[in-house]
Amino acid sequence: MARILILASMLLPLGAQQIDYSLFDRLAEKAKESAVVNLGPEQLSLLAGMQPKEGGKDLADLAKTLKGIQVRSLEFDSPGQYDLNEVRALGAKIKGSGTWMPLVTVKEKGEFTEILIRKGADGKSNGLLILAAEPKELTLVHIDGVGDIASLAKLGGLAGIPEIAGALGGGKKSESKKAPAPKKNDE
Amino acid sequence: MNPVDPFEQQLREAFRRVEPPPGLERKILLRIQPRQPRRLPSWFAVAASLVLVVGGSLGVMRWQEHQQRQREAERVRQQLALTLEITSRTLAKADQRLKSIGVERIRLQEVSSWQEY
Repeated sequence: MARILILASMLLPLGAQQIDYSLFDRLAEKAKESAVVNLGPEQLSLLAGMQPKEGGKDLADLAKTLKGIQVRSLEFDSPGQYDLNEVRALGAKIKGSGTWMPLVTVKEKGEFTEILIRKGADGKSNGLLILAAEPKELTLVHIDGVGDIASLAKLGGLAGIPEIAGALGGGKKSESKKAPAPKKNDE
Repeated sequence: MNPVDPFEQQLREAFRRVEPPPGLERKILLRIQPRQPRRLPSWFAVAASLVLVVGGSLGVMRWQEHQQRQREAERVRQQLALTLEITSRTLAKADQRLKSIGVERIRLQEVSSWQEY
């Protein structure tokens, strides 16, 4: 019995890191458009062998750190096709696991966006998760092996990969503002 | 009777018919016959053919595997591009909302460190 408990406790952190995509898989049937990306370490390692004309080393180096990419993006015909509370519950479950830490939360009436990072045992960020819910769009991006958007932004422009723009893009000319990210909740 | 001239005697000796040694005809015929081309043993031809076929097949298989890897890598690149596109679009919307409340720019690393305090 003691051995079973020890084994269960060892497996618990692994389970906590798993994200449940069943909500998105279920809602995909109702969506007008859906995009799904499932890339594992073996597939991502293929990028390391690519030789783009520019930034080949950056792409290869980053490809070595990437462990997995999961994306679910759903677009609906009209609002009300999904229950926002279910999405909030998913976000709460992810945060409740203890491995994900919210960085930025932007809330408005009927929608929200959360950006979370996961810290590894060495204290370094090794995972990025973006959960965005809008009336007609639902998006989840989970990138394992990268802990900050600046690293992702390095991919921009390499081998035909688009650049990440915006204040949160971690671009080269980003300026800092020491004020904390406020939570705006009009609901 | 005139004595034989020694020179004439020598000439007669030189022109005297001499029977050829036995086997001379055979040796001469052997020397003048054209050489038959050496034929390789049949097993050698079979082995060479096998090497060519196997080597060629392996080469074709390797090339096909390489092409398959290239196609797979391109598919992964496209999926990564899609991921970045979706991420960029999502972040841009969040960025817009933050700007609407007066937050110009956030360096996420600094936010992360602030959260630790």
